[in-house]
Formats: sequence, structure tokens, C-alpha cells
Amino acid sequence: MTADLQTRVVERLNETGHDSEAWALVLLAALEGPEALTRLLDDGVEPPTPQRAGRDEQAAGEPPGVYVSSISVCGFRGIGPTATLPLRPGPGLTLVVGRNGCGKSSFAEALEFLLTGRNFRWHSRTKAWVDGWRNLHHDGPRSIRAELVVEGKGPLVVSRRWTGDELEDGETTVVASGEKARPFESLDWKGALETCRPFLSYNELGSLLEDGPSKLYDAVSSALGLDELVEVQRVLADAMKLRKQRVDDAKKGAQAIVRLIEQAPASGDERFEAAAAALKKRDWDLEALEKLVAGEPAPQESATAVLREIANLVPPDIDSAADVVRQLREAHAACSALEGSSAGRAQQRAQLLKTALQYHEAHGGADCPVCGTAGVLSADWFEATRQEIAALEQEAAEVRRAFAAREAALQSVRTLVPPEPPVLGRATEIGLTKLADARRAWAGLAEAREMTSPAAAADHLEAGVLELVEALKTLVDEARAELARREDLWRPVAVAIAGWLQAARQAKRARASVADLREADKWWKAFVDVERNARFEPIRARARETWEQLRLQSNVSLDEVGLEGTGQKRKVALRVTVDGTPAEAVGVMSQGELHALALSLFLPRAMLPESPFRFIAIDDPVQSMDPARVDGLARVLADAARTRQVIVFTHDDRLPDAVRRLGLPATILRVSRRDRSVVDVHEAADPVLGYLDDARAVAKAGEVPVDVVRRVVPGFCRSAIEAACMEVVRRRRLKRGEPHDAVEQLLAANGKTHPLMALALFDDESKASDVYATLRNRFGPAAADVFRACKEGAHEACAGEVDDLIFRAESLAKSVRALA
Amino acid sequence: MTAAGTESTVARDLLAASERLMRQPAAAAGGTWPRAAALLARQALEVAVKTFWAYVAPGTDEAPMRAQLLCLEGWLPAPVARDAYQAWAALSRAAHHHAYELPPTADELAVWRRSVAKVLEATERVWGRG
Repeated sequence: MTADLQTRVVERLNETGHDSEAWALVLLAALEGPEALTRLLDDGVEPPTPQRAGRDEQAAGEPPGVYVSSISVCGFRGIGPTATLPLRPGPGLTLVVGRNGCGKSSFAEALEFLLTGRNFRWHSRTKAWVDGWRNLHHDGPRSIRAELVVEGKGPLVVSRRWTGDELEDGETTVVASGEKARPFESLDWKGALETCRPFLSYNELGSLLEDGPSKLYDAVSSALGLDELVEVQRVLADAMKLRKQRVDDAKKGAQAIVRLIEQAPASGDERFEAAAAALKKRDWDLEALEKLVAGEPAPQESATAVLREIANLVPPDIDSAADVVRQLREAHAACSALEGSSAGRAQQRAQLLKTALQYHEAHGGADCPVCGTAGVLSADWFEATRQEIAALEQEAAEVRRAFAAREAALQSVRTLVPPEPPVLGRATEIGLTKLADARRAWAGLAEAREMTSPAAAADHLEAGVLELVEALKTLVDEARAELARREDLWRPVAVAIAGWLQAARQAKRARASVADLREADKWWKAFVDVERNARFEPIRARARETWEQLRLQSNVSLDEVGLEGTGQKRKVALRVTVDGTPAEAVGVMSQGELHALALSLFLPRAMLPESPFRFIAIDDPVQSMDPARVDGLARVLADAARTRQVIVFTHDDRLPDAVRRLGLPATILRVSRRDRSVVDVHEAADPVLGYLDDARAVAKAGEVPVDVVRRVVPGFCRSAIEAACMEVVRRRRLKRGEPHDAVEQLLAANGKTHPLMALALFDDESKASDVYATLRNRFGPAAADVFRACKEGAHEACAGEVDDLIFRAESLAKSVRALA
Repeated sequence: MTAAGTESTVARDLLAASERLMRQPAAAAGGTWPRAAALLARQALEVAVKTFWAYVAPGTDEAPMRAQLLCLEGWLPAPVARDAYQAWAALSRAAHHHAYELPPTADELAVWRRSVAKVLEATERVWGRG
């Protein structure tokens, strides 16, 4: 993303008052790229605040431009030994003319391959075609070399040497003057070569429109730098799609779990219902679901909690019960043995006797101070009383111990048999079959708690403890089985929910993001429309201008060119009218017209000021164009050549002819190919002078045997005179407004020397018999003689001096050309 | 050497010259070689045909070249005669200036020259028998 674009977006957001919207942040993140957008939407990481871009760098005018000085090719495609195409770096039109297969296109392809590493034609052709890059007549090293000139920087040589037999086996390097060679990639032209492609071939010209409006749109929009705008749209769309998908997936996941719950056999497990309720809420109760899955303690009243509690119930221990029974029985025995005795009475009597002993010790005497019986308080009495006191105190202690033991034993009963746990009361709804038995057993045994008689309690315990232990154990087993059954049913649901939770959390976030993305996308589309139209304007204007020049007699007029639609519906809309009736361009235009139209779009694209390339290479644009349109093409190319170096490769002489006839400045290079792919390039004069030059060259060569010269030169001279005649006829008739086609047909039908001269002299091919007389009268006897000599000499060796023949033929040709 | 023999040598020389131009064009001749080669090949063919008629049916060699070529069918194997006519038409076309047409290619010339060579062989065989 260019900083420049970011700045414009921020400005526009401010202008439209949307800069503080939540989605504005989403849009800025999308400008940063898909990762930044993901970070924002999924992790809440905001994109860096955009820096205001310095616009000074590319501020003024065009970047320094690249021109081509020459292309040298060796062993590549149609070219064997090294051949060089010399070019003039700088604006101007160069026509490279040569028959199909002469190697001219190899120069075009070489330049394109050198710079782009890929050629449209290779790209779309079969493997056999691609494999045919090597020239079969050449065994040595293969290379391509282009000398370039960068405005204000000087020459730059790009060259590629092959090290193997594959097209990829090589390295392309670049050398600036006085510098070391470095990899071509260091020039960083890749983007510009794609967006402002300075190469166009005939095939590409055809496919430009035929591949469909969206392809054309792409070709134009990348040139306009619209790709980055579209990229943002794609980022937004992708993000939206992903998030909608997440919501959808999570919804489907929730539905699947609900189905799972609904299909589960009835278990009475309240977790199913709770999960279903949480899943059916619009936003899902994820917290509740998490708790369910985590198995957090269920509410006390829930069946699960009750079952768990029951499952953990511990029955009274049978050994302990036996101990308690024994304890009770011992207590009972101890108490029975002490029956009749009373700890209180024994204690009180012991106390009374102790007081009597104290009295007696203090006061003495033998008489009883209580009943007055005399003489009973003797030393024997004293001793016997002391012993009795000890016995009484012992008795009291025994009784107290026995009572305490009995209480302890009864307490042990209560400890051993607690009251029925309340959970059994709550469990009545769960449907445990063994519950009633257990409760009954428990209640029965618990009666022992209330008993005061250790013997009865012991009997009760002994009779009921086993029953309770058995009943409770059965109940616990049943509760455990029920729990396990419920867990087995619940587990798959819990696992499904656990697996789904992560997606659900993402989906919840995604749902919130989609709304923002939608807003951002809406705003962005409007922004792109404005940008697109502004950027397309120069191309639109120039394309229509170009078409006006190229259409000539076409009844198709191009009313509007526009970039329209987005995504699948994107297209370059070409609104045309045929004689005033609106129509679809591709449907109504001839092949030639389509090519002209494609060229109308290509040229402005290649000439965008942002492009670093000041050259445009076009391979065979005139194929399938009629002569009239070739005139228009010549004008368009010459016009483009005022600011660009336009190099056109063409397979016939129509374009050079139009250029010459219209007096347009151009350099014409002829390419021819001899045996073993030896390719020659030389600059061509106009055809008349060209033939005469050829004749002189052969005559002067010295290498050509004289008898060969004498047989060849008259033929060249005749061709020169024929060319002069054609030039006059064509000029005259086109000026009169005769259609191109009619003139060409006339010339083709009268292609021989004599009728051509009749046409030139009289504008009437039937007056051939007057030719000699008229030549003699108008241009002198020598003119008639040389005309005859050329005609005859073309079939056999000429008799006179060849230099003289050439001289006189030239003067006749000049005279003919001067005819009105 | 007979008159026909001499003329035939001329025809062979012309054809050889045409071929030489294609292989080693004179440096100064630049791009002229395809048309020059065509001119020489056509002359070789015309000389051969004229010589043939002068030998087998004197007087025929005065007729227009087109007629002379068409008459060959009665004397030479049909494929050779037909190829001769086609090569002549093509070479003649190359020897005239035509609007928008570029000189013939090396491949085209090679095909035409092979036709001419066959005519030379065939005619020589005929008058060689006499």
C-alpha cells in the first residue's frame, strides 16, 4: 500500500466525517493488508496511525524515462549469428519491416523477454512453442543485449547470456556506464513493466478485447494503479467472507449439538436441557456452556448433585456396630449388677459416717451423739466405720462408672447410626428403585437412637444394621450406575460443546466485525469509484481521440469508454453506436476495427506519465487492417511518436507506404533472413530510391560477376519505375476521394510495367499502346528507350552499360513521380 | 558443344549465381539479394525453356513465355511442367514491384529454385537424347 493512497484515504475519511467510526479503523487496517486486518479484528491490535506521505518525491512531471538504443540478438528464436537492430533513442517512429519469419519479431520478443522475462506469446502458447526459443542454426553461446538510455542518467546495458538449453538457464544483468554489472532485478522495473506494459503483439491485441471485458478491465486497471484499490476491496471481502463463514459454521455447529441433545435418549439429566437452552439463545450463553462442560458443581437440588451425594453415602461399619452392641451389652450387665444400689445413697452415708468420725475425734466419748446409745463408740466401731466409709465410696464410684458407660454406649449408637441423610428425602423424584428399601432400613435402624435401654438398643442394632448396610450399598450402587449412565450420555455432548466453544467465541467476535466490514466496504466502493474515474480520465480522452483517427470510414462510433463494476461484473464498457444505433462493441466490430480499438486503449495506457518507459514496442498491429485504417494507424503512431519512442514491427509494406505517402517522419528498417538464420537489418529509403540503390549496390559491389549484374540490374530499374507509377496513381486517385480498396484493386489488376505506366501517364490502363509515343514526347527519346530496356532487360542480360541504365531509369522515375 | 549445350550452361550459371547470392550475399548488396536472386532464377528458367523449344520445336521459343511454359506439359513429366509454371509465376511476381509486398524469403526462393533445377534436368534429358 502506498503511503500516498493512505493519506488520501485518511483525508477523505475526515472530509466525509467518518474518521471516528469504528469501521474507519477497520478500513485503515485493510489498507495495511490482510494480516493487519486480522490482527485488528481477531486480536484487537490497532493498525499504526498512518503517516502523512511526503508527496514531494514524485511531485513534478514524469519519472526519468527509458529509451532503447539497440537490440542485439544471438541464437534466439529466428536469429542465428548476432544481429543488431539499431534504434534512435528518443521520441520518434521506427518501422521495422520484414516478411513473416524473417526474424523481425525475434527482436521484439528478445527485448520483451529480456525486460519482462516472459512474453505474452510464450505465456499463452504450447510447451513446444516455448521450447523452441533456441535458434536451430546456431551452436555457440546465446544472448540478448539491449542498450538503453535513461533520461538524465545515461546509458544502461541490459543483457542476458544463456548457460543451458532451457529458457530459464541464464542470467540477466544490467550495467550502467562506469559501474559493475548487477542483477537486472535491482532495477525494480517489475511493477512498471506489468502495469504500463510497453509491449504489445498482434496476438495480444486480438486477445485484449476477445478475452472478455473483465480481462480488459484488469489490463487497464493495473496500468492505472487501480490494483491496489481492488486489493483493499479484496482484503475486505475476504475478511467478511471468512467471518460470515465463521458465524455460519458456529451456527451449524450449535444446531448440530442441539440435534445431538434432542436425539439423546431421555436421561433426566438436566444438563441437556441447560445446554440446549444456552445454545438456542441468539448469542449463545457461552459462560453457562463453559461451566457445563467444565463439570462445575451442579446446583444442590439437581439430580446430578443428589446422585453424587447418594453415591458417596457410607453405610454404618459392621465391625463398629458389633463393638457398639458389645459396649451396650456390657453397660447393661454392669448396670444390672448394681441394681438396687444407689450411688447417691452410698455417697451420702459415707459422708454421714465421715462426719461422725470427725465428731468423735474432736469430742471423744463412747455414746452415740445421735441416738444416745451409750458405750457404742468404741475403737472397734471407729475401725469398722472407717472401713465402711471406704466400701461405700467404692460402691458409689462403681455405680457412677456403670451409668457413664451406659450413656457412652447409647451415644455410640447415635454416632453409628446418624439420622437419615436429607439427600434421601430429595431423591424421591429421580426414580431410584432401591431408595424406598434403604430409607425404610435407615428409619428402622435410626429408632435405636431414641432408645434408653442399652439392651434394647443392642438388640435393635444387631437386628437391623445388616439390613441397612445391604440396602444402602444397593442404593449407592444404583446411584453410581445411574450417574455413569448419565455421564455416558452426556460425555459426547460435552465433548462436542468443548470442541465448538472456540469457534463460537470467534464467531461472536466475527459477527461484530461483519457489520464494520460491511460499512468499510460500502465507503471504500464509493471511494474507488471516484478514484477510478479520476485516474481513467486521461485514457478515456485519448482512447476516443485515437479511435476517431483509426475509425475512418467505419460506421461504428465510440461514444464512451468507461471502467465499470467490480468483482465479477468489472468491465471496460465500450459504448458504441453503429450509424447512430447503440450496440455492443465486440459484437459489431470487424477484426480490424477491434484491433484498432484495442490499440486505442493500449497506447494511452503505455503512454501514462507514471511509466518509466519512453518506448513502446508494437508487433504487427496492421495485420487484418484494411489499407484505409492503416493510414489512420500511421497518423496515430506518428502522433504518439512525438513524445515516445514508438517501435513498430510489421510484416508488409502498408504501414511504411502510408507513412511515406502521408509525409510522416519515420525511420524504416528492413529485416531479411538468409539461409541458416543469418539476419540482415538495413535502413530503407522509399521504394523507388530503394530499388535504384539496390541496383547501384549490385553494380558497384565488384563481388557480383558482371554477367549477373547485367541480368539483375534491369529488373531493379523496372521495379523502381513501377513503384514510381504506383505512387503517382495512388496519390492521384486517393486525392480525388476514391476509396482505398478500389485503388488497390486497380493497381493489383494492372501490376505489369506497361499498364502501370499507362495508368500513370493517362490515368487509363487501356491506353497502353500510346505509352512509348507519349514517353518520347513528354520526357524525350531516352525515356522511351530506358523504359524498353528495363522491360526487356528484366528477362535477359541488358546490352548497354548498367550505370547508364540506372542513371536513366532514375531520371524517368523522377519524371513519373512529378506527374500530377 | 552444341548451341543448346552452351545455352544450357548459361541457364545453370544463372541458377548457380542465384544460389550464391542467397548463401554469400555481396556485402554491399545488403538487402537486395532476395529480389536479385529471384531475377536470376527466373532468367535461368526462361533461358532453359527457350533453349528447349529452339531444339525440339523451333519457333515456339518466339511465343510469349506463358505460352511456352503451358506447352511444356506435353513434353515433360506433368509435375515438373506444373512446378515450372508455378515457379515462373511466383518469380515473376517477385521481380515486379507490388504494392505493400516485401521481397521473397529465403525459404520461398529455395522452393522455386528447386523447381527451376528440375526443369533444367528434364529439358537437358530431352535434348540430350537427340
